[in-house]
Amino acid sequence: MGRSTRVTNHIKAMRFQAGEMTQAELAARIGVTRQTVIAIEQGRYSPSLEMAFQIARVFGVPLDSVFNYTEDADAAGASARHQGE
Amino acid sequence: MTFEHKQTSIGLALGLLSFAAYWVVVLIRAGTDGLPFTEVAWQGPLLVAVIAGGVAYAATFGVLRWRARGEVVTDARDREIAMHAELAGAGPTGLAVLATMILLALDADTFWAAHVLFVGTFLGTVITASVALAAYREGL
Repeated sequence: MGRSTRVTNHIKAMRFQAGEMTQAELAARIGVTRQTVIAIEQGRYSPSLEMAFQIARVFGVPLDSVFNYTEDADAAGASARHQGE
Repeated sequence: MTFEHKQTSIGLALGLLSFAAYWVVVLIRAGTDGLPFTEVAWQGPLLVAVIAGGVAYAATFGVLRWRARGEVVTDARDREIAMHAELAGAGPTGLAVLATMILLALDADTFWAAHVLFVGTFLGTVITASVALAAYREGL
């Protein structure tokens, strides 16, 4: 398992709530590769502020409904692993 | 695997291959001619290794880019990884250039000047590619 960022997210859950949107669809909507969406979901990449806003806008929710920042790196890693399952 | 990830992997493999092929040729020539390897005809193999490696890299880039035409192939993450990796690989490359300039200023044998540059830039390339591949695998 690689290093995780302290930024956790609920993108996977939100994709499923949004009509089972695929990673590829989300990637196309925000103009990145599918692998970048995978890396963000798994906590291996912290998106730029602009990209984070774009993701939140796709789901029609505020930024902090999608992303959270935790002081605890272990908890962030556990959350990322849970997201990746 | 993204376009950049794939291209970096291929570039690293081609770099290792051309570097190894060059040294195999030089060592074989040294063995068959019974000369110290600093005195064999290294210029031709070195140029062939560098040019053939570059052409092969450019060709694979062209083929991969053509196969992925119309797709988003690079994004902000690729650019961040490239910047991070280039910073890591810049040290050996810069040192090699500096060492080459010093060797030339001291009127050292061309063999050493050329090979310090060749090996140093090769190490810089390997470090750049390895750091990029690690970042793709484990995250930034």
